[in-house]
Amino acid sequence: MSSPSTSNSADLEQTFLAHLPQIERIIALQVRRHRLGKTDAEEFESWAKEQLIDNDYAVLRKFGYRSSLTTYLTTVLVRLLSDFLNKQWGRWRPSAAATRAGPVALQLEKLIYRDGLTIREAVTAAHSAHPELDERTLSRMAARLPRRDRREEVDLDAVVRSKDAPTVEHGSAAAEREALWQMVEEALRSVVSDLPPEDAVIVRMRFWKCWSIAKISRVLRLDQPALYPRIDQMKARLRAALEQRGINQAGVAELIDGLDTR
Amino acid sequence: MSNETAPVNRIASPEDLAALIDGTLSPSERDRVLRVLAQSDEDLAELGEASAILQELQQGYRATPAARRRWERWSRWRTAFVVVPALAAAGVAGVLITRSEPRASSMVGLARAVPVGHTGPQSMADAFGADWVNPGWPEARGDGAVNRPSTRLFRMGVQLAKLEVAHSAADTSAMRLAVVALRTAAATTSARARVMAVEARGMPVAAADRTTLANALRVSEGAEIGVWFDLGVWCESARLTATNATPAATVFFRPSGIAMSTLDNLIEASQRNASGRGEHEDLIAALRVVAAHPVASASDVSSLSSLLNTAVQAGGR
Repeated sequence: MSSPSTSNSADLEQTFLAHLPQIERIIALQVRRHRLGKTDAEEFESWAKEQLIDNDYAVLRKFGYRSSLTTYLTTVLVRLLSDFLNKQWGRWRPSAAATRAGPVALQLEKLIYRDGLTIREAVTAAHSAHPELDERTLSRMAARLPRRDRREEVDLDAVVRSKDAPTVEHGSAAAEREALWQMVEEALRSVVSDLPPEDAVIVRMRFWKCWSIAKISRVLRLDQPALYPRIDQMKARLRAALEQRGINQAGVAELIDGLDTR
Repeated sequence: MSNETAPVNRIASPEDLAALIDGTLSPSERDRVLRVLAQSDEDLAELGEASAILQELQQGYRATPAARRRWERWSRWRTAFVVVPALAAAGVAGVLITRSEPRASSMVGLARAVPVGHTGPQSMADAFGADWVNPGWPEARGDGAVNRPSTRLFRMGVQLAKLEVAHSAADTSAMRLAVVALRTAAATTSARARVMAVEARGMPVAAADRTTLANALRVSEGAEIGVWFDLGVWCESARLTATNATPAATVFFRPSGIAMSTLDNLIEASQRNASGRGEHEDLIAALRVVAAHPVASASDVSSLSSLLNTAVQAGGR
């Protein structure tokens, strides 16, 4: 009856082999969820398995039985994929504006500023993934994204010349909105840091990560119906705290409500 | 913001995130991990991703046609050759484990459902290893744990399960070893006397006599704490099943099955019983992990083996 830290290599190898089908299932799910191409998928699979075997199965040796092994392997593989993608594509961080605008805006931003597509190409790709949104709406969404450094210039002329071109938000209104949001975000982070840990995490999940209430309920194992009034109460607390900091009530209410409608 | 390489802001370990997902953290540990998540976008993103993948896994996502075919072949084998005998063996338990707190006779039924493979001399050692009879806790003089009634009951439950499995295996030597181990675990005079009376009749012990013995041992320290005896029986039955890890074992551990439903009830009852005294926290924590462990294959079952070893050790201390 050996503990993980005293298990010998043969035991750990046996554990690895016994769970190899499960590991492969998890990797296949990750490949599907992240839409990895065939080459990337094969490369990730072999690299991830190497990481699990490396240093005499160090990953398995570290397992302290505080969770099920399947769940542990899942979190390890999630982290490995994140490391793998960072190495492949560099450390990508979405802008605050795209994060607020939602998952479609995040996708557009990645396609344009990380993967180097033109706006037209990114809109076409996003439309095929989200056929419920027409290209005009997507173009308007793309035009509202903040400019970021990229190797190639965005082909805005092509967008403007098109007869369906959206009205691009001009500098001063967008800049004012961005400045207001930055002020609110700093104040919000300060308020959230004073909340109890579970409330702080719920706020981050709902307002920063835009998770559904069902997802929050599942991940934190909380009662879903009880979360709705709890989040409403948190919104009220956030608004009150921001007002105390002298931030304009109408603008704040609009921003906070806008975050919570996803 | 530019697309440059930035330091990764990760603080939570994969096991912290896994334990949070499985709901196996103590309240103070959960607070610690939540505090970490409140500061780390990367950890939060990984938590969400892992949770989504696990949900798909539990919904039975099959990665490849080959994996699907392997699963289907195994499922057919298991149904044809294992399910019916196992259900018949658990028949007594099936009738009785509908109460919120199972009775000793129902726990005995569970122990009798432990799959043993072939029967006869040496079959216990063949199925469960040469050290199957070792208790997993120290039995030196001055072992302070025997001062706790819940621990004494747990130990008796563990050894009774061994006796039942030895009878299922029709391994006479193993039956004798198991009854001696049960006598050692029986800490009160009356409990020891009952075991010795059974021992004196020789092996094998009739099923009805074993059931009567189990009922008596369960209440030997007071009926209100009998749940610790039940936990001992459950843990040892599960540990032996996981150790052998035959395809039949997946029946024992299937989520909707008798054994796992019983485990949920036992965890609840033991938490109520231990409330305020902080007893057996390690045991309960280990069992919560077992209860949350999805089992779809023999490899999932074998991964429970070490966990259940830990649980038995924790309960017997």
